[in-house]
Amino acid sequence: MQYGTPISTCTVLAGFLCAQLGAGDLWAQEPDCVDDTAFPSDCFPDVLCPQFSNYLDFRRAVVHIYGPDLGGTGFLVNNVYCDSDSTDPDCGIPYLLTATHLVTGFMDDEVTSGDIYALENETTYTFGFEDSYCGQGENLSWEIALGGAQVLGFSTEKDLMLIQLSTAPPPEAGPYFLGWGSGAFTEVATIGHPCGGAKKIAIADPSAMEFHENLNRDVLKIEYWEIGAILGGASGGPLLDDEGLLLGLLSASDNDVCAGEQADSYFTAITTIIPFLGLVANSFNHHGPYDSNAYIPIPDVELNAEKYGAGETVTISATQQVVLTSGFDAEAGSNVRVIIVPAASP
Amino acid sequence: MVLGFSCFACEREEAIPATTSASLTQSGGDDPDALALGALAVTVLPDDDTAKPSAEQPDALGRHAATRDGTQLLLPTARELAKRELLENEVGELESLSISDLEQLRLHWYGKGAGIVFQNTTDFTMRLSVRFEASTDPECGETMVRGPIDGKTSVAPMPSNRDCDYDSARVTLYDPSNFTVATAIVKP
Repeated sequence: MQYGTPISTCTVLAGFLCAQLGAGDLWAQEPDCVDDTAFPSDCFPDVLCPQFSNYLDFRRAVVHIYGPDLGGTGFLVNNVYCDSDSTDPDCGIPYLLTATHLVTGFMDDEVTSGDIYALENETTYTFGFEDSYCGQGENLSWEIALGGAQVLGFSTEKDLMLIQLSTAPPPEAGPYFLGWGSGAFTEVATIGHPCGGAKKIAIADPSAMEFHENLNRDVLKIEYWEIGAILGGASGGPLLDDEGLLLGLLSASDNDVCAGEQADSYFTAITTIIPFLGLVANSFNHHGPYDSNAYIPIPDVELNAEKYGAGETVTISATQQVVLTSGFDAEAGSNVRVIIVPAASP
Repeated sequence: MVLGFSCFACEREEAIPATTSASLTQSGGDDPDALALGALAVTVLPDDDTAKPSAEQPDALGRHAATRDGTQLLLPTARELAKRELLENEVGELESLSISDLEQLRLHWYGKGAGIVFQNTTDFTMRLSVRFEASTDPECGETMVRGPIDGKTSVAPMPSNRDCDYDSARVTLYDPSNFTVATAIVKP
């Protein structure tokens, strides 16, 4: 079975991976979880791939949630008492939004006191759980896990849960608090932890998005993804516009397919989220983000799979690491310099 | 000298010398509180820069606690408590963390990578110093301080040398008055 058009994912994951992909075998796999990793990997591009540089800041809002019999994605959301550039103490209050079904297993199932206890006492909320650079690599990555939280409210019919972490995330995690109230946009994206693995991204064209207004829950449906895909574990992740403003929260997806196929992924719409947030949102239809951004822990790793012929001179530089990947070829007579210049400390 | 920020700068951790420990034990019996009170009677405190880190040499009190996430804390030495008492005699009661406050803290190694996460779940402003160490390469040792760490916030210091294989961190926590409230060894 063929899944989508490989061109976009090959572009995303750099040339070396395209070279590794033979005809057929990987493409024939249905998306699935193998040991907490989403496969086939080309269906699930890393959030740090260069094509998604627009989302580098926004990705820092996204948190991996893991606890006893629960797991998924959540994200930090701003509150109306914090202006984007403010040093107001209301800025940075760690409100975290996720999906109720992360703990119940299914939508509309009741949240038990045991579920609440697990979220508040036995669950970790991890920042920075992502591959350290596009397509591969874990050696440079870090993960900061926080524990302790308070469940402020939930709605099973809306599949929404608001949590406040017991402490603000550390500046080293560079926490980003999403705003909401989008205007016109050219693409939408969701960022999450499919299969409970490293952070991935999926992109869709707005033309593939439908808004369904319902009595209890407005829904945004993405029919198909242009890049990336959805699997279990991504639930609770945000749907963002290209300015990082919140449009929805991932609740379900009908089909486990790669980009280009009929996915029918459902997000609880921002029109339902705002009233749910109550005082945190205070019915503001638009409110900007808050970016603590004291640290920018984005590894600068340069992947190179180019060929350099005789007489060519090139300098490959990065602040942390240069990786010469499959396809790199410096012929006799070429002059290739590799320079690692550490970035200044924040 | 012992009351200001100088201890952060000098990175020295303090333990009570054996002779002093003995005298405090005699004066205080088995009751930890009585030991602390007994320490008040000691007006001259040796300022021993060569003392071993308290985490390696439990003091006369020998009290321990654990953070919410299970990291073992060694509580202040009798000497540290005596310093506090001396200062309180001069300036009045100081803000202090209770054992239950300490037991609500969270202190652990990164989920991946080298670094520690400290969650200050109290309402107090705290500080910490941390010494990262790599058992395979002593030269990798790196010390840093963080603070003030406001209540209900957290910090996650990470060593700067990515070439080192860090495998432990010796952490000292300080209260709003800059007295040591606990030390801990944090490992991956």
